[in-house]
Amino acid sequence: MTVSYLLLVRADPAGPAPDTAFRLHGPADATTLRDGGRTITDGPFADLAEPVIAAEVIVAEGLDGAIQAVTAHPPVAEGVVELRALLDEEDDAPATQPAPTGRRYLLLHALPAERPATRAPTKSLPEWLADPRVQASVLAGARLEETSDDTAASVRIHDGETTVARGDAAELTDAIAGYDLIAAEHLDDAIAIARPHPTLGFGVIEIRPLVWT
Amino acid sequence: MSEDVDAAIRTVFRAEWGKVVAGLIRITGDWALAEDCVQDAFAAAARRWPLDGVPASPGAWLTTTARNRALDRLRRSAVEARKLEEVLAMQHDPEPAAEIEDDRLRLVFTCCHPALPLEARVALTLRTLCGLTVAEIGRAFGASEAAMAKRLVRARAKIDHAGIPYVVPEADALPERLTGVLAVLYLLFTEGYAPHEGEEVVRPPLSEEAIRLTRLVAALLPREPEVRGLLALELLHDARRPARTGADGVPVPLDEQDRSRWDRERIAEGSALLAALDPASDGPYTLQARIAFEHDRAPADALTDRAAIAALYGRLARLTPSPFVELARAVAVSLADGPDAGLALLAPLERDRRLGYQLAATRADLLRRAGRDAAARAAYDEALAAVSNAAERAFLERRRAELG
Repeated sequence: MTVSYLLLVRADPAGPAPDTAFRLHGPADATTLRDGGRTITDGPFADLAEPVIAAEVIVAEGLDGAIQAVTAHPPVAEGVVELRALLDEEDDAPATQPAPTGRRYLLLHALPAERPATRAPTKSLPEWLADPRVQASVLAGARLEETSDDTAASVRIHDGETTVARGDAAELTDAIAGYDLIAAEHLDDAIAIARPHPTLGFGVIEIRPLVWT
Repeated sequence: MSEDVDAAIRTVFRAEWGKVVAGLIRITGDWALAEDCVQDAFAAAARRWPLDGVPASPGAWLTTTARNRALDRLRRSAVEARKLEEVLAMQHDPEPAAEIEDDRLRLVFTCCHPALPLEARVALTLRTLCGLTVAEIGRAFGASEAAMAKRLVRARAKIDHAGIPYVVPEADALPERLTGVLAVLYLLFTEGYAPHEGEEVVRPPLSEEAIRLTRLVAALLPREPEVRGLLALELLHDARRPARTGADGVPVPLDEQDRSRWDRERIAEGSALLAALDPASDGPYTLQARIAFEHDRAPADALTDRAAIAALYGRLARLTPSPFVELARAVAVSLADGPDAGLALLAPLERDRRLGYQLAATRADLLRRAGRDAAARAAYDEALAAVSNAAERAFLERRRAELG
C-alpha cells in the first residue's frame, strides 16, 4: 500500500548540508508561537542536542519501504532521520498554488501529551483553510498518524552504520502532529498566517525558515 | 573653537545616528554594513568639521557620506551588485521627511521583535538606534565586548535568515507588538537607573537613552496613550535621581530622600503628560506613572496621599493580576488603612511560591508595625531562611535585631 511519510532530519546544524528536498536554517533562527498565537518566542519548541535541520515528504510501500529508502540513501552522514506516516486525507494545499515568490517557511505543529481543560480561541481547521490569506500561502501540509510500530520509525546513522527503531522511539517527533509548508513575504506574514490555526488552541507551532534563494 | 565643534559632533551624533542608520538599512538591507558606514561617516565628520566648519545640514552631510561609503564597499564586492543598483537608484531621490521618520519607527519594531531573544533586542536597540559602541553596551550589561559582538552578529543573522521584516506591524498586530517595544524601553530605563561603578561617565546613563527613545516613539505614535504613560513613568522616576544616592553612594530610600533635590522640570513634564491622558484608558505603565506622581507631588513623605496610591494599586491589580502587584498593593493599603488591612490582603498570597522570601519579609514588616512582635520575629526568621541577596539579608537581620 502506498503511503506518504514526513521525513525529519536531525543532525548538527554546523555539519555538512543534508541531501533533502528542504533545508532549514538552524534552530536559533526558529520562532515559536504559543497560547493562541499571543506568545511569540525565540527558538524551537524543544531544545535538542540534534535539532531538526531538514525535511522532506517521500512516498513508499509501507513503513518498511520508507525505512529501506532512508537506509539505502541516508541524507546525512551523522544524525537521525525520523519517519512519520501522513494521515491519508485530502491535502491541506489548495488547488491553485501561490506564485513562487517570497520566502518559504515550514510550520511544525506540536501538541502536548495531555490536553488542557481550556483552549485558546482559534479558527477551526476548515475555517483556517478557507481563509484567503492561507489559500494564497500554503504549498503543502498534512496531519500525521499517531505514532505506532506501523506509522513511525527513526533511523540513526553513525559511522556509516544505520540502526532502526520502530514506533515511539522518537524523543521529539511524537509531539509533532502535522506540518505546513508556506510561502510568505517575511516572518510577520508567516506569523499572521499561522496564528489562527487550531493547533494553537492548546499546542504550539514552530516556524522554521527554509534555506531558500 | 574646536571644543565647539566637538560639542556639535556629539549633539549631532545623538540626534542623527538612529536616523542615518535607519535610512541606510532600508536601502541596503544590510544591518552591519549600515552601522559600519555610519560609524565611518561620523569619523569623517570628526576629521573634516574642525577644518571645514559644521555643515548647514549635518544630518544630510552624514547621510550622503555614509551612503557613499556603502557604495564604495558594495562596489568592491561583486555579489552585492544588486544592492548597489538599488543604492544608486536612491542616490538622487530626495526623500520625504515622513519616510525618514517611518524608517526609525520600522527600526524600533525590528529591533524589538519578539522572535529575537530579549537581551538581543536590548543590545540591538542600543547599537542601531542610540549608536552606543559594542564595548559600551557590554559594560552596561556586564558582558565582554566579544560576547556582546557575538550576540549582535547572531541577532542580525536571525533577522536575515528568519526574514524579520523592516516594517511597522499591521494595525491588528500593532498593540501587542507595541507592548513588546515598551517592555524593551522600560528594561533599558530600569537597567540605566542603577548607576555603574568605576566607569568615568562619558555618556549619559542608559536611563537618558531610554527617555530619549521613548520620546521618539511617543512622537512617532501620537495616538498610543501607553507610550506617553511610559514616558511619564520614566520622567517621574528619573526626577528623583539626584536624591537617590547619598554622598557615600548608598541608596537612599524614598521616605528619606531630600525632596528639594528632585528635578522639578521632569516632574512638571510627567505631570502634564498624565493630565492629558484619559484615566479610563490607563494601561499598566500609565497607572504606575500615576503612582509615581503621587509620591513626586507630596511636599514630604508624611503628606503623601496614601489612599490615592492604594486605589491606584487596586486598579493596577485588576488590570494586570499578579502576586507581585498584589504584594505591592498590600503594602500600599497598609500605609493607607493600617497594617491589619495590609495583612488581610497577604493571606490569599500565602500559597504562592513565586514571591519567595518577599512574602514573609512583607508580613514581618506589617506585623512589626502592628506591634505584634512575637509573630513579627517568627516571620523575619522565615524570610531570613529563604533570602539569598546579601544586602536584603543584612536589612532583614537589622530589623529582626531591633525587635530583640
